Amino acid sequence: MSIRLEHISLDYQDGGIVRHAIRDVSLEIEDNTFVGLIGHTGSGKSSLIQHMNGLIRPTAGKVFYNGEDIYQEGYSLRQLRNKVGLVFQYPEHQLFEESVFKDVCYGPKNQGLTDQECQERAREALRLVGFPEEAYKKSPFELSGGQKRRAAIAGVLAMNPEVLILDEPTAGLDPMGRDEILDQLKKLKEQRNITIILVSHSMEDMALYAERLIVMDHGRIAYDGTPKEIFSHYQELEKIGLAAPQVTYLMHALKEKGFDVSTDIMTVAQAKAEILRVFGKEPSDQSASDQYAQACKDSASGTGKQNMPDRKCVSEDSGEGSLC
Amino acid sequence: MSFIKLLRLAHEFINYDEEGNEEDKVRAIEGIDAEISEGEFVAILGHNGSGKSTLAKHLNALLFPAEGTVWIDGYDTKDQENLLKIRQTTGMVFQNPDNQIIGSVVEEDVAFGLENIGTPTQEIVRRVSESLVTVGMDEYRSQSPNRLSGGQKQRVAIAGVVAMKPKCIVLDESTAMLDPVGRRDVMNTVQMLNRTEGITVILITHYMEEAVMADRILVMNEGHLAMEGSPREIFAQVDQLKAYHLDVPQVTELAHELRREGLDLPEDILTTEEMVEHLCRLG
Repeated sequence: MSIRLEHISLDYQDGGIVRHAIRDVSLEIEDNTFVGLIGHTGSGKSSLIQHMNGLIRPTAGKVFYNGEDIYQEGYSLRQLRNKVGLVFQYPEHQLFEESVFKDVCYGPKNQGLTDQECQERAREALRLVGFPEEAYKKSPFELSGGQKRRAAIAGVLAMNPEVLILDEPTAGLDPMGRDEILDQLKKLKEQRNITIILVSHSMEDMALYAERLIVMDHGRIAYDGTPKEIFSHYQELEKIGLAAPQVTYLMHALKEKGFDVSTDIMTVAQAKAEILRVFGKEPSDQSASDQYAQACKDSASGTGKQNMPDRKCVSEDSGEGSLC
Repeated sequence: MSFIKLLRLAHEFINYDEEGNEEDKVRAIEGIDAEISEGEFVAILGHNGSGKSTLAKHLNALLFPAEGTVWIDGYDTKDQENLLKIRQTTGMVFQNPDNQIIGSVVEEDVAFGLENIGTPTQEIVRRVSESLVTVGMDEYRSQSPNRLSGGQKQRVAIAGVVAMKPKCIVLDESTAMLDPVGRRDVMNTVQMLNRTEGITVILITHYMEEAVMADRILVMNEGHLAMEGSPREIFAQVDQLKAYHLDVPQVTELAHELRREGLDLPEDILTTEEMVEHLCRLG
């Protein structure tokens, strides 16, 4: 079970000039993974995801879903779009019914389900995104930004997709709304085995949630790997409009100052464990303690240096580095 | 009087039923007292629906107070005669770059505002050039805006505002849709306008790293002004900010966590450089 793109290219005409939105991209997305897709504006991310449910047909190349060519004769693109749900940017702009509940029922209704089935699906979908029951009857226009976004995601979930693709689902949300939506997506993946493909400009969020990161640049795949591998190329990422999480830069700066720290750190929890390790302190709570054990293990198996706390801070050049 | 002064400002949104009768009123903001000096860089933070954008629209007289008063450079926004003056004093840049670019060529887009107020052609040409140079988009002046990246489009939008020579620019989540480098370029431009041109900047954002660059931060919560202070004062209150649905920069959170484990770090670390410096002292 997977989405597979084989050598797809997408060209379009622009005032007599042929432009290439996607250039010979091949990739496979396995079932039940949380995949992050990053890239500068115009790198081809949005075009790429629309190939995955047949909204855009490639100029060249093939698209397979669960091993079947989606453009073979007799293949139902309509069925495909039920299985691969796509949540566009600012999906709340597409809410149109008079109540949230009715809006979420719209998708299953079009799939030909009975009223009762639609209602069950809608209830389930709204529950999955953590939408409060007392607000089911509200007009979409009365909701806060975070609630609208959830309602819109529920509308796609109600169609029972196997894959959920979301184009910047947290843009414009406050930090708590952002965390809540991302936590819900993670739960969907864990509890319902739904494959999540997330397009985002937030490197911090990708570091926390994605299991695999695909980096697009000028219509090509520039990198494909775990977030840890990808963010180790932080200097190259900057050249293509991206960056690494702030703590990754911190660890590189500490290393330059002579601290014996690992630099493949992407989250606050990892940075905390690693810094505590270097300072020879054990963290107090359990989750931090696990990270700490991992940090010690990584360090022991790592660069050949011993895992003895190295507290000496070496100033690199006599003049400027005299902080220490 | 301060450059911008808000006195017990309240705003009401009124819902009407199908017959056009007033159904109910929602107070989006209430009891806001604030002053902003000329040349200041102020960031406004707050959860979705906290009233940030409503507040911003009062600074450009796009909305008028239900109660209280707003003075912009001494002009009361309630007085219709002041509208033109106020809107020339404060320029706004919004979230979606594609909604605010209308010209088919970059320089045409930047000239739009000036043409509307009847600026002489020679003057338009000069000001458009100047503002495109200011935001670093001069080399794209005769291109179509369609081809630009999000960050570049936002800088063109900013150039359009700068060409009007406002004393103040309000950016309402203008970086929300941009990639990291686009965000950085826009923020560099905004900082430069503030520091070298002396333009007052009011920045609404959900990115805490951007708020760190401000002189002062206002935090909105459920329509009220909940906190006010320097970035250092505000971000030292990690738990309070989280209660308001907000966050702190990653290094500030890391410092907070390390302090809890007994490392002797200050609460108010805001940047990577500061963190490195303090860890070196401990080392």
